[in-house]
Amino acid sequence: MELIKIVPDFIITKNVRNFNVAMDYLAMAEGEGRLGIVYGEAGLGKSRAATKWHADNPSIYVRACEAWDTSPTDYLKEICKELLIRPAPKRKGACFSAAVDSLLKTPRTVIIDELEKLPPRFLEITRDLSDLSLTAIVLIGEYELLSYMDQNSRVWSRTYQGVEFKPVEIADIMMYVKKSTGGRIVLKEECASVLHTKLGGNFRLARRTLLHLVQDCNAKKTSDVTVEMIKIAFNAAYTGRKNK
Amino acid sequence: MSNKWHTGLTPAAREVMKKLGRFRTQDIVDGLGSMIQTYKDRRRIKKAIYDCRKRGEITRTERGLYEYVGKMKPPELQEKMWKVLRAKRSVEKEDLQELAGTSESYAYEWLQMLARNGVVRHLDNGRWQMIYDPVEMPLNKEKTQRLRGRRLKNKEAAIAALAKAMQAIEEAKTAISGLKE
Repeated sequence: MELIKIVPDFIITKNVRNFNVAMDYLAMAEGEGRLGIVYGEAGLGKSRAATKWHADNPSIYVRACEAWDTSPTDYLKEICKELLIRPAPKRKGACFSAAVDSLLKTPRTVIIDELEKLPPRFLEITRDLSDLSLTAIVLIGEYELLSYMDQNSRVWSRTYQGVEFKPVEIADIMMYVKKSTGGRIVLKEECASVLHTKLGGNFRLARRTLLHLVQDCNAKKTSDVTVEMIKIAFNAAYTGRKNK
Repeated sequence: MSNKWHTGLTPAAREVMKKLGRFRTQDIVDGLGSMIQTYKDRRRIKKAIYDCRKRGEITRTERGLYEYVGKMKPPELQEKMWKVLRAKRSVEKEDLQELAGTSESYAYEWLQMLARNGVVRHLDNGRWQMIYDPVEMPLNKEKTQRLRGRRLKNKEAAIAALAKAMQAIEEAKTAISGLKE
């Protein structure tokens, strides 16, 4: 039997589809400041979907760092750096103005990941940046992002789109396995159901489990996956050790 | 393939948009003249404007008034890979294939170029880790030069072949005229 290989292909799951629709909607409302939020548990593919969108569209991507929690200047400097403003101004106000000017000149969507790690005043700065530069700013985070935004009603009124990343569904898992193996492994419904229950909706674990599953299939020279193989692959992916 | 949907209206409308800069739907209809004869054609123009706006080619300055800003060039593969690398900081070839849509060999070649320029380093587990962030994308100068050299060589070969062919034609003409005489 020919070895099964994993084909790295970006799978458009239901979550990704919702994310893309929300981004299109945000793009349509150009000419005014607007915010979008993407939230959900860790490992559901939020950042991956955002990275894919960022790669395909004119945008900048900033990942918030806890080290900036006392200094909005560092946060604004990072945004300036991504906007290719060189050298970035040293003062907070100058950094902000430079970022606004750059975004007004060349409108780009700003994606900010994990902003909820920073104090609420950073959200105010982000809102001001969106209002004055008339660009779409998309915030990505976990469920804390909602309570973080709840503190400020003005932010909610500017939030055009909210996308919740939900746990992956059985159909997503079946499609992912089929597409990633070039159609060589087609999960039976029973196997997919077991895998879905074990994963608990985590897409990151699904990717790791598939790696182990393909290894197992190649070792056994088969493409017929059994429930037992799924359990072994999942345990190996979850603990990092096989058959534990 | 059926050509039902390829009416050529959008490219023609784009030309008019470029010429006018700021325009209303009626201006495009007037600009296209005899191409727009029915209400259906007019609806197609509205659809073309909607599509152009969605693509970012035109912006709406006020109700019913649009401005042509130009066709956005889709990001090149290298640019996509660069964005993915900067966002993730540490990638595998497969990440670039999945998120930037490149081939395995091109992703590997590009990462090797970055490694030679001291931007990334190759780890034992197959990952490529960013060690220096120049913000702007480093260009593959060696490859550009190599390709330029190859193109120049091909051009020279084509010119030489053309000269040879011309000489052969001249010789043939001379021979034919010799025969006639």
